[in-house]
Amino acid sequence: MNQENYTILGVEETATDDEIKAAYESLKAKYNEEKWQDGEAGNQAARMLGKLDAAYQEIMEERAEQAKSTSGPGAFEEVSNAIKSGDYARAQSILDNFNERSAEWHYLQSVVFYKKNWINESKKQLEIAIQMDGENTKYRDAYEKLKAQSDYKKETGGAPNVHADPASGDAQMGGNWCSSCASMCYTYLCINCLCNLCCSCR
Amino acid sequence: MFGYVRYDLPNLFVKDVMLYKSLYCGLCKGIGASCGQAARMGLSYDVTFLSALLHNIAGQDIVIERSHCFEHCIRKRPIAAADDMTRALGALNTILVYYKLTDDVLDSGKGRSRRAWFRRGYRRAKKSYPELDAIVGGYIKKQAETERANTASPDAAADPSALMMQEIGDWFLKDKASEFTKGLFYGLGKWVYLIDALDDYEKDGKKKRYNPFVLSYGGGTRQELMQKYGEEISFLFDSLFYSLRVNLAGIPFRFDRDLTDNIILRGLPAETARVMKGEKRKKTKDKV
Repeated sequence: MNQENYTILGVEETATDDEIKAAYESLKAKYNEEKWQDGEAGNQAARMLGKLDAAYQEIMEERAEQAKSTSGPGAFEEVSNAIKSGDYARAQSILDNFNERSAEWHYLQSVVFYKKNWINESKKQLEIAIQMDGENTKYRDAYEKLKAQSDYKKETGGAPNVHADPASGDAQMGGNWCSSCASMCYTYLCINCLCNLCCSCR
Repeated sequence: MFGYVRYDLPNLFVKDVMLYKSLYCGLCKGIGASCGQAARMGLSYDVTFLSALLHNIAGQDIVIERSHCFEHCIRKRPIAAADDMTRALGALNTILVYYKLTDDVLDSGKGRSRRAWFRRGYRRAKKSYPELDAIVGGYIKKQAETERANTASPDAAADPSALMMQEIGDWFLKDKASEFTKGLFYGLGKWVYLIDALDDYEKDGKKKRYNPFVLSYGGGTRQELMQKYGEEISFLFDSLFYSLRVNLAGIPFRFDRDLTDNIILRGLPAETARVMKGEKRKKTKDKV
């Protein structure tokens, strides 16, 4: 059936969509002219015209179906699974095979870049995804999270954030354990001097 | 490539000054032990920093003893004993220097005699540590391919160098390697590549040499670059520092982490700020 459709149109199975369309249009014009002929020739052309239309419709539907299975929601799932299992090279190769690059494609590409520590590229892909689909909160959340990585500058006034381990506290503080002892001694010395001023008691 | 990894002096503890000095001397002796005397000329602070970081993460004790060396022949100095790791790091130092000089020869056709100085040491290093040579050589090749393909994205351009560093870290740490150490070493390799590229931005732009920043943002002066694209470049480095911080927090340190924290969390951002402004490095009298 499939092969027959292509023979009716007079093209190879490997022909592109544009080539098929061109063949369809030229054949349609030819049969449209021939169908006004007298006798069997006219009838034959009219019959071929019907067949031609059916064949063209079928081929186009089939091709749309195929395109969906390689770059549709199923393929997105495949990419997500590859990312989850840590196989970023596979995820990247699936992404590279997509014909149509939707917002979701750019989002997944940004995740792959993020996992590879290519943060700048990841941010760029997210920006494109948001531009294409601004409604999606998933893209926006991811974008805000990325942007927050450089936010510490606002908190520290541009100084580097040096807390690698949040639980460690400030290691440079400390050394205060005997400060009260020292101040007691000092106060005692001062009082002693003052005492010596008036009554010279020794 | 060399010379960007610096400590932040005002925040460096005195104890760490001593540790850093003795590691520096120890590495020098380590190069001597694994690659011969001539290769000791290639000694660098970058690999000294790696020595501090790797000893600490691997939990290998640093034994400091007072002894003489060729340069300090009168007074004894505290020197870290050249253990296996230090000797391997010495070999790594020589291998890196040799490949860098080879790169210079291929780039400009100059420096053949400088490279010849290190040839014997490099051969010795390659013989005793073939895995290290394979890692460095392989990724240097990949880096050259990436550059020949005129990769414009800084993230993609730095990838081979970063992966090289990651594998070097894995090789030294063996079973102590984790996702966090991988991330940390990847980030360090990436930073070294990017800061070198950013520092050479004007020079490469004029000489029409490969530079990811020139390809991404167009040539010109550093000031113009920072005015127009400063935010983007800042984000590139800030996100890098963020990942360094996250990874550092996930690594258990055996001894004290002050020296490496000083370099990673303060030294690298300070050096980045300096390169972004295009300032010359200030020479301090009280150097370590």
